[in-house]
Amino acid sequence: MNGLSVKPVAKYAGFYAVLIVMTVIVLVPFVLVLLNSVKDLAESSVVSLTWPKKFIWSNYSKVFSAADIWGSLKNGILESVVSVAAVVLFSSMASFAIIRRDTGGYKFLFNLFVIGLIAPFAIVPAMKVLQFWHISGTYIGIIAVFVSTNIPFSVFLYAGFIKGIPRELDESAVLDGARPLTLFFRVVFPLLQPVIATSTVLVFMNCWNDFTFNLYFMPNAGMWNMPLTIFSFMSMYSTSWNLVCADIILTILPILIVYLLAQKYIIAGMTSGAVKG
Amino acid sequence: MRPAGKKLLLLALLTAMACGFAACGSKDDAGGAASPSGSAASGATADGGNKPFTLTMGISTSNANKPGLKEMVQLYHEQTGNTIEIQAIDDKQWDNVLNARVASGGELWDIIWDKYRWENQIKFKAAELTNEPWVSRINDSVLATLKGYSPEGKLWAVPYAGSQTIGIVYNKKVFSDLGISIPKTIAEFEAAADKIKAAGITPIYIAAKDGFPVVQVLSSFIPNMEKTNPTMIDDLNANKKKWSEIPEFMDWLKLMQSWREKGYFNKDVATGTYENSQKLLAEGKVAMLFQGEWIVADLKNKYPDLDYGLMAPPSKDGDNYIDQDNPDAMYAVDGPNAEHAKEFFRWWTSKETLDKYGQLNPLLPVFKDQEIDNLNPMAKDAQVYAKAGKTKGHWNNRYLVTYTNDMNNVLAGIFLGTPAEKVAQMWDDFCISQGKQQKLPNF
Amino acid sequence: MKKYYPFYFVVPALVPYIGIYIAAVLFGFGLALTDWNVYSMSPSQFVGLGNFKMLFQNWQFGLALRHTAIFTLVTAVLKTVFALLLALMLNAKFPGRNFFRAAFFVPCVVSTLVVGYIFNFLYQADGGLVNQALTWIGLGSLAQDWLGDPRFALFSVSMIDVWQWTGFSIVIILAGLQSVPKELIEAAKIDGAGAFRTFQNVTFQFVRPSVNICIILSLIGGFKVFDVVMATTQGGPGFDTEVLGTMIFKSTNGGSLGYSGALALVQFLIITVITLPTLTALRQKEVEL
Repeated sequence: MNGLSVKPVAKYAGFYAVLIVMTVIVLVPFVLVLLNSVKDLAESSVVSLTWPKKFIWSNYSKVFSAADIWGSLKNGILESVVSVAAVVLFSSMASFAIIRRDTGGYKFLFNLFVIGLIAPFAIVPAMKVLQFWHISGTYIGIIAVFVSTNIPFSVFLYAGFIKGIPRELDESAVLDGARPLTLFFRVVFPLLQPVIATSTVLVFMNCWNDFTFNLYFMPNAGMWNMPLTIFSFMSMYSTSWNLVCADIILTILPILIVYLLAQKYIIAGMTSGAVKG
Repeated sequence: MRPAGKKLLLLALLTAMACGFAACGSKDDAGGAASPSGSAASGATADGGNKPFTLTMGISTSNANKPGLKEMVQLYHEQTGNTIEIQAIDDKQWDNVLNARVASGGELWDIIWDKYRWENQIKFKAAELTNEPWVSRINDSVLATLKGYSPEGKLWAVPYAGSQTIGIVYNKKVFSDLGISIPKTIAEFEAAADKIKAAGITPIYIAAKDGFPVVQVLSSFIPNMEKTNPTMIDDLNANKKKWSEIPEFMDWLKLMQSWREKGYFNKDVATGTYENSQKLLAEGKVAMLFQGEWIVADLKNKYPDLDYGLMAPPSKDGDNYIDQDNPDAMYAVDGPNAEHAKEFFRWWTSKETLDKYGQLNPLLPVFKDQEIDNLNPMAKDAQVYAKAGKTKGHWNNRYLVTYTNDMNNVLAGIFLGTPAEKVAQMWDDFCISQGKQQKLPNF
Repeated sequence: MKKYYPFYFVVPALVPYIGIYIAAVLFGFGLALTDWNVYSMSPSQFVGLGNFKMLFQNWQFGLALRHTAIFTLVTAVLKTVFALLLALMLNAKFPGRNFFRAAFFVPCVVSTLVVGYIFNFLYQADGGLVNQALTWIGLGSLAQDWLGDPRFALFSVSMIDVWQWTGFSIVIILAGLQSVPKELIEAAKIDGAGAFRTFQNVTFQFVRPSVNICIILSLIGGFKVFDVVMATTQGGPGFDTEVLGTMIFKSTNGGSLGYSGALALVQFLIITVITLPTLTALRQKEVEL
C-alpha cells in the first residue's frame, strides 16, 4: 500500500473514472488509426471515430504488395535481436563491474557512459567512422551503431538497479566457490530480470523503429527495415489516408506484439518489488 | 536457477540464429561494401565486354515513379542483359542523403538522377560527356543552356527533357464555367480572382507545409521582374544589391501581402500539403497552383480527367514571361563503372529509345530528331510562350547561393501574415548568411 | 573481492561505445571548428571559434533556444507530475490494474515518426479529433488550428510529447515505489497520519530517486527534441516551433557541416550545464538509504 485510503479502492468510482479517462486519451488515437485503415478512400478522408461502412481489407494487401515487406521484416528482426542481445549482455556486465568497483577509474567510466545520453551523434561523422572500420553499409555496421548508441542508457538503467543488490549475495556466492563469470551469470543476472525486460523492450523499440540510421547507413532499399520501407512507399500516397493508416498499423504491429509479450515480465518484476534495501 | 538458465539459453539461441542471418547478410553485401562505387559490376571496361553488368542509380522516389523510367530500364535489361538497379530515396530525404553521402566521401551510386545544376558535376565527380556521339544531336538552344552551366562549356549529364516549365497551373473547367479568360495584367488577374472567390472557390492554394511549393510562387514571378531589371541576379550574386534593395522584389512581396488580405489564398497555408493541393485542384475547389512541370506525372496518374493548362503570372503591362527550369538529368559518377554508364546513356539517347520514352513521358524534346506528339498540357502551353520568346531561364540556377529549405519558411511568412518589410529583411539575412557559409566572394 | 569484478567485464561495452559513438562525437566536435560546407567550392579551413560567433549573432538561434527551453520545461513538469499521480494510483491494489499499467506504456513503443503522423490527423483544424472532442463536450468554441496557428503550435507539439512519454516515467516511478518499505507505511497509519502526510513524509522520500531520474531524463530529452517537431510542424509555422534539434538538422541539409557541428556542440554544453547542477541539487535532497 502506498498511503492511499485503506478501504478497498474499488469503491471509489472517481478513482476508476480518472483511470478510464486517461486510458481513453492514451488509446483512442490508435483506435482511430485502426478504424481508418479499413475504410474506403472517401470515408477515410473524414478522419473520425465512426464505424466503417464496409471493411476494406484490401488496403492492407495493397501496402503488402507494393513494398518488400517480408524482406524488411527479416532485416528488422535480424538487426533488432542481435542488437538487443549485445546491449543487454555488454551493458549489464559493464554496469555490474562499475558499480561494484566504485573506485575513481570506474567512476570515470560510468560518467563516460552517461555522457553518451547527451552527446551529439551526427550522421556524417558516423558515416566516416563506419568507413574507417570498413563496416559501412553492412548489417554489422548498423548493428554496431545500434549497440553503441543504446549502451549508455542501458548502463545507466542497470546501475540504479544493481546498487540495490546487496554485496552480501556476491560474497556468499564467492564463498561457495564461484568465479567471476559464474557469480555474474548465476547470481546477479537472474536478479536483474525486471530491468532486463525493460531494457529489452526499449532497445528493441529503438532498433525496430529506427528511421535515420537505416536511411543513411544502408545503401539500398533491400537492406532497409520495415518502418523505412513502408514510409518510403507511403510518402507518395499521403492523401489516401486509409492506406496511410494501414501502413501505420503494419509498422506498429510487430513492436506491439513484442511489448505485450514482454510486459508480463516488466510488471512481474515491478510487483516482486526489486530487492529491498 | 532454472528459469534464468532457460532465459539465458533462449537468448543465446536467438543470438546464434541472428548471427547466422548476419553472416548470410554480410556475404551478400560484401561486394557492395568493399567496392568504392557500391555496385557489383562484373563486366570488364568498355571493350572487354559481353558480360552483363549491373549499375546502381540513385534517384528520388517521385522521379523514379515518373512514367517511362522503369519501363526503359526493363527494356534495357531485355535488350542487353544489363541491369540498372534503381535505388529510390523518398523525395524529402533525397537531398539530405545525397549530401551526406557526398560529404562522407563514401559510396555514391553509379548513376545519379538529379537536376542539371551548375555545382553537381563537381559534387558528384561526374564523368564528362562533352564528346559523346549523341551530343551533336541535341537541340542548339537546349545545348547552349546546358553548356552555360559549366565554366569550360562542357556537358556533364544526359537531360531527360528539354526543360521544365514553372508557372501557374490552372483548372480550365473552373475558368470556363465562370467565363474567365486568361488574365494578363494584374488588374485583370485580380478581377478574375474576385470572381473565383465569389463562387466559393479558393483562387490560389499555397502548401507551405511541404516547403518547396512556396518558392514556386517567387520563381514564377521572377521572369517578369527580370523583364524590367535584367541584371537582378548578377547584382545579387556579387552582393552589390540585397533583395530588399530590388524594387521589383519588394513590389512582389507587397502584392502577395495585398492578395492575402483580399482572401485569394487558402486559410490553411501553414498545414497545406503538395498532395492536398493537387487533390483540391482536381476537385475544382482550388483554381490555381504555382507549380512546375513535375506535377504533370502526378496529375496524370492520380487525376487523369483533370483539364488543366499553364499560364504566366500577371504583370503591370500584361507582357508576361514564364520560367524555364533546367531539366532533370542523369550523371555518370567517375569511377570504374563510368564506361558502362556511358554505354547505357548511348542506348538511352538512341532515336528508338527516345521515341519509345517519348510515348510514355511526353516532355519537351531534347534532341533534334525527337518528335513528341501529345505533349502534356503544361508543355504545350509553354511552347506557345517559347515560340514568342517569352521565357527566361530559372533564376535559382544562376543564383550562386544554394537554396535551403529554411528559405521556404522565411518566404512563407508573406502568405502567413508577416509584413513585407520583415519578410524581406529575414530573406536577406538568410541569403547572406548562407552565402557567407559557402564562402562566396563579396559576402 | 576486487578480482570478482574484473575489468574485462567492462571491455565488451567499451569497445563499440568508444570505437563508434565517442569517435563520431569527437569527429563532430572537430568539424565544429571548421567551415566545411558541402556546397562550397573552396576547401574547408580551420576557423576556430568562427562558427560559434556566427551562431550567437543569428537571431534564429535565440529563437530556437527559447522554444527548446519552453518545450523542455513544459514537458518535464507535466510528464513528471502526471507520472507521479498515475504511478501512485497504479500502485494500489485493484482489479484490472495490470491492464491499465500495460495501456499507459503503449504510446512509448510506437515510433515518434508514427506518433507525429497520427497527431497530424488529430490536430487538424476542421474534422480533427481534438476539435471534434471539444465540440462533443460543449467546448467547441475552443477549437483551433492546433499546428498551424503560431500561438498554439509549440504547445500542441509539447502535448504530443507528454502524451507519448508519460508512460515511460510511470514505469520508472512505479519501480521506485516498490522500494517503499511496507512497515513504514503501516507505522505511519498507526500514528494516525492522513494519506497526504504519509505520502509526503514516507513514500515520497523513497520514490525521490526515481522522480529525479524522470526529471533528468525529461530535461535531456526535451533539449534534444527533434523527431516529434520534425514529424509535425518541421519548425513551422514560419519559425514558431523551431528548436535546436530542427535547426541542427536543417543546417546540415544546407550543407554546412561545420556550422551544424558547432550548433550540436553548443546544444551539448547547454544540456550539461543545465542537468549537472540540477542533478546535484536533487541528489542532495535524497535521503540516505
